[in-house]
Order: sequence, then structure tokens, then C-alpha cells
Amino acid sequence: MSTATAVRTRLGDLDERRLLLLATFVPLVAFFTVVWAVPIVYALGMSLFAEPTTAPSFVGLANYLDVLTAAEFPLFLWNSVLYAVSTTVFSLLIGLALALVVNQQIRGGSVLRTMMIFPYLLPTLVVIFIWQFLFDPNIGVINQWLVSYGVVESPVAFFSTSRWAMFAVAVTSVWKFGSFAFFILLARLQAIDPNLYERARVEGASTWQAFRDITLPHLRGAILIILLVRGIWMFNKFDIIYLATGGGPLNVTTTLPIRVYELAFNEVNFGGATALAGIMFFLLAAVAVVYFRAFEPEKEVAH
Amino acid sequence: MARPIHFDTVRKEYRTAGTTHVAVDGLSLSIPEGSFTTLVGPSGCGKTTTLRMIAGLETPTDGQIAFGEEEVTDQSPQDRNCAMVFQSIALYPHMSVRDNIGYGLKVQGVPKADRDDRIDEAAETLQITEQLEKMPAELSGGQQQRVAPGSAFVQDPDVLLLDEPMSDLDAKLKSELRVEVQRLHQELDATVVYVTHDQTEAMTMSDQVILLNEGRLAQFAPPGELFDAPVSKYVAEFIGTPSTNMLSATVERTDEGLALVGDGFEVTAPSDRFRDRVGESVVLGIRPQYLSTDGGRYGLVVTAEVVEQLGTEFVVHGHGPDGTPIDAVSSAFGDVDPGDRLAVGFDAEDLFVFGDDGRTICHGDALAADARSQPR
Repeated sequence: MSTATAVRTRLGDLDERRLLLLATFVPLVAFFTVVWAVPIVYALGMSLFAEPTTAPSFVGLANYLDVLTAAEFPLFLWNSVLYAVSTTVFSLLIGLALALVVNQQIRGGSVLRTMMIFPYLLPTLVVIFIWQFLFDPNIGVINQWLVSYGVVESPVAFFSTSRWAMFAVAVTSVWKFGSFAFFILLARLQAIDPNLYERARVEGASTWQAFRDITLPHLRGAILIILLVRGIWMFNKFDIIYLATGGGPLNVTTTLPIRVYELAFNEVNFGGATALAGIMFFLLAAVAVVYFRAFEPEKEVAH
Repeated sequence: MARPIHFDTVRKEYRTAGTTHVAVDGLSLSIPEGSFTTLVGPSGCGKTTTLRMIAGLETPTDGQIAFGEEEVTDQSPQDRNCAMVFQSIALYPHMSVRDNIGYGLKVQGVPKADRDDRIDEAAETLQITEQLEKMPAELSGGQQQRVAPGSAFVQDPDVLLLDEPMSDLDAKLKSELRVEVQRLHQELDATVVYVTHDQTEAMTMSDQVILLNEGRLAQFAPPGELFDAPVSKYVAEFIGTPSTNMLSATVERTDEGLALVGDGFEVTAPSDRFRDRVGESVVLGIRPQYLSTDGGRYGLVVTAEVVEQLGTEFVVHGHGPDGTPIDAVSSAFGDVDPGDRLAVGFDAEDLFVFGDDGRTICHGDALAADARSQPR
């Protein structure tokens, strides 16, 4: 085929359908370029300069080196991983347990289901107030129980004790975000053919065997997606931690996003802040790649 | 090892928000060991509930169920050696066909090598060897239906329960699987209970038929007896296609004794059975197959409305002089057109006589015996 005919065919294909496709596609590309690609590239660009906002001077990867070699970087990274993993795993487990309970035809199941949406709907600040109140060393009901049952001798200031601050923040987060896993898993559970369980019972399977061989395989895809998106969200979570403890006491709840905020707005080091944000981005990307290779969640979704 | 199944006044109610629905009511019968018994009846008559009570998936509200000497009323399904084929097929979607068939053995702790031997053997019988490594989603509906009995087959159950396993298959596949299921029954040492709403399936496959009517036992008998000696009008109407014709008549005293007098016929009635019923109205049942154009002692005029060809036979759907719907089946109706009036005849020995309450008063043989004994 000559070049001339090839060009003609290409122009000839530019019919209404293709025009419509272009007309719908181009705005989308433009939108994502403006609100995603440009800020990301701009931020990554900033990370290569010292004082990028006032008197920019190119320093290459020096900002990255500074951030990575900072004495406290391992602690912040550990805090981030600890927070993200613990809140993701526990919100998954608690969401799963509650979904299994509600999925049984129990009395009050629908009330429980409706109530489960409230933590997710409540503003983060309100959730923090609730838990600070519950954990309060003077008037909090949890401390009263702990003291009256003899678990501790004197009340514990959970949010401001270095030993318990991360625990308190994690509990608050799990309480708020557990319903996310709950609703996804409940929807999946309700889609399972009840005859499968009846067949398993007639074939002699115990409740545990039926759970392992029917329920879990059906939930696998949903669990993998929850782990992925909840894990990423919790790794990047800023508001609930910062509003509850501000990263303290003594940096025990300072995760990487909080450190980014401190660098940018307390120390006015935008180069360092963007460099650290870049490092977070690359860490998550690496984890996501390994995750997709290992579990192939897209296969599950296709089912 | 096959075991008989005994029902003793079994009752099952469902309570929802104040209303009580009785699904099965006072069911007492014994299914012989090793038999092929069919539970049949219209939708909502309690046949699936009965089957699920045998499996242990439902617990009776009242009464007892026993397998042989062993009472199983409150036993969990896991403790009964039953196998069940569900209407929805219920293959585990994330397991291969092999794992699906072998799942029961796996949870019972049968070693893998032993399991595979039994699966291969079952697959050969069911002709699904090529499908063993596939996933259920890769199979067509008919293939899935073939796989479903496989797990029942390898488990060597005492009781095999089938819940309308062929309800959504085409006629050809149905007749193939019908043979398959019967072969399964011959090879397994199990009591088979089969649920269907299709009375043709019930009549062709089973040793015993349990016909239910709104949760109550209508009749429990071998298929032939159900056909020839129905105990009630309900049984006569449900069993047999087309449905049994019902002609109304009254018991009257005539010069020659008692007679059942209807529109256009007068059937001599034995006085011992009808002496106390003079003046009562009764219903005469006559199967469409027993209405013939040649012969028959009693006559009836039928106006044809629709003529259907069923292979070599023709079914005439019509009505009698008083408008009662009447069907007739014969190979001689080939040239009947809608609107034609045909004279058909029947004999007393083919009649069923039902009382006002729907119960059978007597079958044709009693009428015929009496007719013969009387001087003419």
C-alpha cells in the first residue's frame, strides 16, 4: 500500500464516530493534565531546587539525600508503616467480622448495618473528639473501667503518652474506617449463592471448612482491593493523626505525611517537603507493583 | 448402604410476622430402602421442603424422621450420609470440576490418591472426563448439569436427594439425563428421592411416587397404581397427560337398579356401594386415552376445539354437550378438524367415580363387575 492511500484511509476513517470519540476523550486528557500531571511534575520539579518558592537554585538530588539521611527518617518511615499496616489490617478484620455477623439473618441486623455508616459519615474532627473524650484520663469512661477493673493503677493519658499515642490514633482510625471494609465485604457476602453452603453442609463440611472453602475465595478479590486502597490511603493519611496528636508526643505519631507538612509549613523547606513527598510516591509505587505481581487482583475483579 | 426413610406425622411450619404457613402437614410414610421414589406435586405443595427435611437442611416443627432404625430428626446435615443435587446446580465457582466433585471426600478426609480414583471413575460413568480440569464457568448449562450428580456419585451416600435437577433443560438433554440418573440409581447402593413437578418424569423413572397436595399426602403408590387407581379426584387430575376428563353425574334409581346418570349416558352402578348415595351428585373420571371412536358401551358427543399431533397420536381438546371440557387421545383422530362433532365411547371399567368430597368411591372394575353380573 502506498503512502498516499494510507493517508487517505486515515482521513477517510475520520468519520462521525471517531470525531465523537475525540470530542469526549480530549477534555478528559486536558482535565487530567491540568489537575494531575502538571501538579505532580511541578512538585517533583520543586524537589530538585533549594528554596524553590523564593530564590530557586538547582541542587539536583541534594534535597532527597538530606531527607533520607536525616537521623529521624527511619522513625518516621516506621511510624508510617506501623500506622498504615495496623489500621488497614484491623479495619479489614473488624469489618469482616461485623459483615459476617450482619450477613446472618440475626435480629437487629439491619439496624446494625445502618449504624455502621455513621463513623464513616462523621467529620474526622468529631471522631477525634469522641475518642479523646472516651480516652480522657479524668472523665473518660475507658480509663474508669481500666482503673475499676484493676488493669491499670492510675488513669492513662492515651493521646499524650508516648507509649500509647500511636495505639490511640490507630483505634480512632480503625473505628472510623472499619465500615469501608464492612460495606464492601457485606455486599460480596450477600452475593454468594446460599445453596453452596447447603451443599457443603450436606457434603459434611464444618462451619470453618465452609468459611475457608466458600466464603474466603469469594471475598478474596474484595479483600485484596481493600488492602490496596485502604493501605495507600492510610499510608498517606494526614488529618486524623495531625488533628489528634499533631505528630507527638516526641514524634511517636509523626508519619511521613506529617513530616512533609512540618517541613513545608513549620520549617519553610519546600524543597525538602516535596522531596519527601516524592519519596513516599516512589515507595507506594514500588509496593503497588510488587502487590499486583504477587496477587493479581485484577484477575479477581474480572470474575 | 441404602436405608429406608420413615416419616412419622411430620409437620413443618414457617412463621413470618404473625402468619403461619404450613408447608408440610402430618406426613407419615415409609420410603423403602434402595427404591427410587419421586416426590411430585404442583408448585408450593411442600415437596422441596420435604426433601430438605430429609437432608437436614430444615428441621420439622413436629414429628419424626428416621433412616432405618436411626432417628435423624434433629441431626445436622453433616451427620447424615446424604448427598444432594440442587436445582441451582450449586457448583463451587472457584474450584475445578475435579475439586467440585471431590469436595465432599476432601472434607471427610479421604486421601488425595483415593479421591482421584473415585473421581475418575465417576467422571467416566457420567462422561465428563474431558471436563474434569475445567472451571464451572467454562461449562455449558447442560455440562454443568451432568457434573452436579458427580459429587453425589463419589460419596457413596445412603440417601441420594435430587431437587428438580433437570428443570431447565431442553427435552433431548432431559431424556438423556433421565437415563443417566436411573443408571446412577442402579450403580449406587442408595435410596433415591427425586423431586419434580413434571409428572412424566415421576411416572417414567420411579418405583414409588409420593404425590403431595398443599403439604398433605395425596397418594403414595407405584406409578401404575397411581395411574389406574387414584384415591382422589386430585390424583386423577394431576397424574396423566392430558388431564383426566371429569363428567358430572347423579346417582339415580332406575328400573334396573341404580345408575350414574349424566348428560347423554347412564352407567349402571353396583347397589352395595351406591345404595346410600341416591340423589347425590358424583364425578366420573375418564382418561382421554380411554375415549375411543369405535366401541365403548357408553357414548358421548364431543365438539372439537383444538387438535394437537403428538407423534402418531392426536389429542382432541373439546367440550361435551353441557360445555364440560373433554380431551380425547387416539391415533384415529388424524382427520378431525376444529368444530367437528365426534361420537366417542367408553366402558364402565375405565371409569373412576369420585364423591362430592373429591375422594374416590370406586374404580371402574367395581362398576364393570357389577354390569357383567346383571342380566341384560
